[in-house]
Amino acid sequence: MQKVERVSATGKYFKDLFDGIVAIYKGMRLTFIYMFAPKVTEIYPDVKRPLPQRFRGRFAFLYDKEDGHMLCIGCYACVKVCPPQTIVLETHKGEDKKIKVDKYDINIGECISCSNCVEVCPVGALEMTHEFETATFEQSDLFYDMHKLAKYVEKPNMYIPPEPPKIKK
Amino acid sequence: MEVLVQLYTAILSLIPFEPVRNAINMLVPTLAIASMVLGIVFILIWWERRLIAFVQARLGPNRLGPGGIFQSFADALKVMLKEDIVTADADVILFTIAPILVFVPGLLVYSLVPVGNGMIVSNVNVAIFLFLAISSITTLGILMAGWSSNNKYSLMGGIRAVAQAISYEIPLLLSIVGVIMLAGSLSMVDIVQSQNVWNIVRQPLGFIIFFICSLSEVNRIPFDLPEAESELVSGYNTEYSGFKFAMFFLAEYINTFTLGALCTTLFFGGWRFPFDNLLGDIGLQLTAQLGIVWFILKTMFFFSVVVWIRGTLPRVRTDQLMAFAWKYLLPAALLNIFVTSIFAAIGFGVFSR
Repeated sequence: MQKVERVSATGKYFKDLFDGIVAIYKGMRLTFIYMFAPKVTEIYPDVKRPLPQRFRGRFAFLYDKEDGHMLCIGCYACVKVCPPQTIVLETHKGEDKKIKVDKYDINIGECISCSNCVEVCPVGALEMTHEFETATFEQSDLFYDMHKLAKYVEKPNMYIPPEPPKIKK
Repeated sequence: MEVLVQLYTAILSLIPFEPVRNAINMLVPTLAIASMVLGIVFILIWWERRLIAFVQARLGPNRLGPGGIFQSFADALKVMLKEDIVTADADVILFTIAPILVFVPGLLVYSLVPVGNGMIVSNVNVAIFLFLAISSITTLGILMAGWSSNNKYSLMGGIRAVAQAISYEIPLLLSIVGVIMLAGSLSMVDIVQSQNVWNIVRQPLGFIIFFICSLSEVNRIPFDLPEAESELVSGYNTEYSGFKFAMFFLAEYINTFTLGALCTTLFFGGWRFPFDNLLGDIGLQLTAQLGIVWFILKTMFFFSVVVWIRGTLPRVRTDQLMAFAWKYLLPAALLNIFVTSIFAAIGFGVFSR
């Protein structure tokens, strides 16, 4: 059996008053503390949040920093693996019987930033950069050729897959 | 500031004709006070938005000017460029008069508030009475806006505003009676000069009642039932746009500043520096020269408290609103008058005149 407390009308009047004051005090105290608490707002264009190391932003076509030759060997692996099929690669066989890359075009608007091309590249000639503000006023500006995608690096961007988890026998 | 007043008096005395002098003496302080208040209102809007953002762990407007202080100027420009829409079947005359009727009394009452030592437009000897009389016209304007909009939400807001104003005006008036008794005068200047000890020490209960009631009078959260966004779209100003809406908006801030000004004048020593009579000559000089600074600082403090309350408390229900006014505030105000009159009659300690 639960004991029912009977409160007189006068008792309820003062209890309500007291409860109200306590509740307002608690709320006001909390908001006062929050007034000086650190703010969650990011001042975006002025202060940018540090991006994670493996952030997949705009895609880059790598050149060697020292002599400026392109790392790409024209193997078409990236073209085959690209899910939206946006990479356009054209090659021809040079006089020294080596493959020369004529054209490496990509539509950034179609690219889904899946990073498959970077992973599949046998010589590490591609990279996902940390650049993500690629919005343009013209749709045609979304087409990037090999010069626009160019990035000069010291060593190829070889993809090192994470170690597979070991399964206990 | 005293220098400024003296300079003004000196320039005024150079004007030969008495009627011209009187006319200028009426016009200049009025315009000075009105432009001061309107200038402050722009800062208030920005300050409210910043402070409410701080309470909610945001930053608020911070892009335009230092700390975003020009944001409200940009908003004012935007609102002036907007189309002035009048609802179909609206009562056009009332619809046009209503924002003026809300805006003008809010500005008019500043002629009665002493903003500094000797800085008052008209030192009326029944200032408080006149003050409350003028400021209650605002409610009429709100009802007018609600009725003339031809919109059920607006009408609802107007009705609520009137019901609320009737309920809260009574404890508001009664809570001031204690102050008037202690000062022995209805004049604002006399009340400030009587506060060698601030009235908050002598009238703590009176201050709390006064603050709550004036919060309700200016329709601020938690008593913003006339414009309850979540219930009545935007209440009495639902159908207003452009400059008419801006007048309602500015009036709300002017009235909130008035709340702070009245709290300062009646309970926190007006333009006086804290404990100026105990600090001796320095205190009196601070009061005399920089009165307007203390007045504005104190008023801004109360405005900040109002914003702080806005950031904390939810809106009350209509029945709670009424019950609170009649069951709690009115008896408390009567008790306050009773106790104060006994102490004032005996006249011991801080209660002695």
